[in-house]
Parts: sequence; C-alpha cells; structure tokens
Amino acid sequence: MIIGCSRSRSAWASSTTYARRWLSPGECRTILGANGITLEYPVLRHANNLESVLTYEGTSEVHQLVIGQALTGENAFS
Amino acid sequence: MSRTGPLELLGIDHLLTEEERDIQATVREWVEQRVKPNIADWYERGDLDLALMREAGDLGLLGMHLEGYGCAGANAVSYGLACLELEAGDSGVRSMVSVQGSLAMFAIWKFGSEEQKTTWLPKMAAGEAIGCFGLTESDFGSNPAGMRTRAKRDGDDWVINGTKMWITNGSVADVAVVWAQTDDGIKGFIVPTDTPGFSAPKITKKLSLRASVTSELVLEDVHLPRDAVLPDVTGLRGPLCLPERGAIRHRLRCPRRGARLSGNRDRLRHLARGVRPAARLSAAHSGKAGGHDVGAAEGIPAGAAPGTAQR
Repeated sequence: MIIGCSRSRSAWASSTTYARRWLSPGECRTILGANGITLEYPVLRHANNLESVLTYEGTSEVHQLVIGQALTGENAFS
Repeated sequence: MSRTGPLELLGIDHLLTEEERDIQATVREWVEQRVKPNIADWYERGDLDLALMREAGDLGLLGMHLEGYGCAGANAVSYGLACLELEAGDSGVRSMVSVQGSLAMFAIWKFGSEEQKTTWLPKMAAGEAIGCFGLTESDFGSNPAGMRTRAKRDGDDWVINGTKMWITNGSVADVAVVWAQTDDGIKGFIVPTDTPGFSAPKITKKLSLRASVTSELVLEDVHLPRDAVLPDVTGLRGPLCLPERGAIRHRLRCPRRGARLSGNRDRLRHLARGVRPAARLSAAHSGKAGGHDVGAAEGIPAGAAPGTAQR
C-alpha cells in the first residue's frame, strides 16, 4: 500500500526534476536575457520552487529506493 | 482523432470529460486573475494573501476530492487538474490548497470521528478554518517512523511534547493534525492551535516556496482531551498513504450534468454546493472516475514521457 502511494509521487518528482533542468539556468532563463533573473518573469521563481521537490515528501533518493523495491522486490534501504 | 493543443503539457486533454475541462478552465481563470498579477510581490515579501484560502473555499477547491461535510466530491482527475493549474501559478498557492485538502482535511475525513468531522470539515472546506499537518521533524523527514514527538496518557486525556518541522500553513493554521508516538504506536491528534503550549514560529530566509507559509510546530505539554485522537488509525499507514487512496475511489457527481450554467466559475461553485445533498445520498463508490478509468487517465502517453530523470 505504502509502496503504491510513493511510486506515484516518485513519478511526479522525476518529471519535476526534468522541468527544473529546463528552467534553470538553461534556455528558459537566458532567452529572457537579464530580465530572466527578475520576478517580472516566472522562470527562476518556478525553478526555485521546484528545488524543494528534491526533499519534500521524502527525498529523491528515498523515492528512488521505493521505486527500486517496487520493480525488483529488493529492499535496499539499509 | 485528437489534436494536442500547444499548452498541453502531457497531451491528455482528449481523455477528459466536459466537467473536468470546465474545472480546469475555472481554476486557470482564477489563477490568471488572482495569483499571477500578485505573485511577484508575495514571493518577494515571502508571504501570500490569506484571503486566497476563503476564495479557494468559495470555488470548492478545498477538500475538493472528499464527499460530504461541505466538500465538492470531485474525482481524482479533476483535483489533479485543479492542482496542476494552481501549480502553474505558483507552487506555494498549490501547496496552501493541497495541504489543507489532501493532508489536514483528508486525515480528519478518513480517520476522524463523526464529531471531529462535523466540527472541522465544513469550516475547512469553506476556507474559514485553516489546517496544517504535522508529521516530519528536523531529524525525521524521509523516516517519520523515528519521530520523537510523543503523546502520553494523563488519565483519560493526552499530553503531547515535541517539535515538527517544515509544516506548510503552520503559523496561520486554526487546527493542526499532529502525529505522535504513543504506547500503542503512532497516532494522529487534532490540535486546535490556540491550545496552551502550542506555538508555530514561521521559517524565514527561504529561497524556495517563498509564497508559502512554512513553520515549525512546537508542542510543550499540550494537554488534549480524550477525543482529540483520530480513532480510526494507528501507525504510519495513516500519515503516509492517505491522499491518493482516498482520492481515487471517489467519482465526480454533478447532479445537473448538462444544465446550462452561466460560466465556468458558476459551474464549479455549483459543483461545490449543489453536489452536497447528492453526495450524501449516494453511498455507492466506484473505481471509475468520470466515466473512464483513473489509471488510464493518469498514465503519461509514451511519446510525451520525459524519460528517466537522472541527476
């Protein structure tokens, strides 16, 4: 039961990691020039918000172990 | 044949029902009007306008996936779409709504007594009472089983001591759902935030989620009556697994589907208010949501999947 829940959260965390990579400090920010560093544009605000996803609702590493256990049946937590 | 719109992130819009699309459009419009024009200021200030909670309650967004007690009774897909739109505004606003609905309200709805539900849920659904959810501690984030917060018996009553960390909505909450070790395992407690011994200092100097209230909860000899405990759960099964399981079981019930409504916002309000009697009457639960399978709707099309994220 717990594994099922965490797995869906993990998929969500992975996709947000992907979004982070796009936003900062890559194309989405630099295409705006210097304006890209201000709050007049949402890019760095979103990138900073997504930083929290790496640790909230369990760290990415723990989520990774949960996924591993769901896929392989192996408990690698300790 | 379906065409994927330029703003579709996942290319799933063709799987959505009319109601689901309406709900998404309503929330998007609210975010455009209320969040986007103000978010730069809130973010810079490290705060957000608490009036948003009432407005979100008015729209039916709080505890949107729950049934009865003033909640909208929408399906999991609708709730997901609403959160997606809030998140597109700002994570802090989405966090405000999802902590209220999926964590604080859901815990009470799922594990609470009838009296606890009728006391708190209608006010929380309306945004008149703000809830927070105290699970994690500074040394126990991913491993909440090690929590140090402890509730001890004092006759029939309880006394809680401990601190919780990174609690969204903590400093502005009227009620906290706090998880604590007891002699019988981990249990949940409903703690009104005006209880003597309870305080919730705000965490400052954040560089992320700035438009969100994040707090520490401090409980020093907080005395609670016997009926403060959530009766229907013991152990981490409660705090870890509640949101998704509950959400998926509930389907959208709009009593007047197809009725002409003056606009999207009215439609969601109608959903929030008009659905209540229908939800109470309807005891049947179904694994299907809005006429199609939840799993299929939540599945990301292979072509749109971002691939394995690696760091």
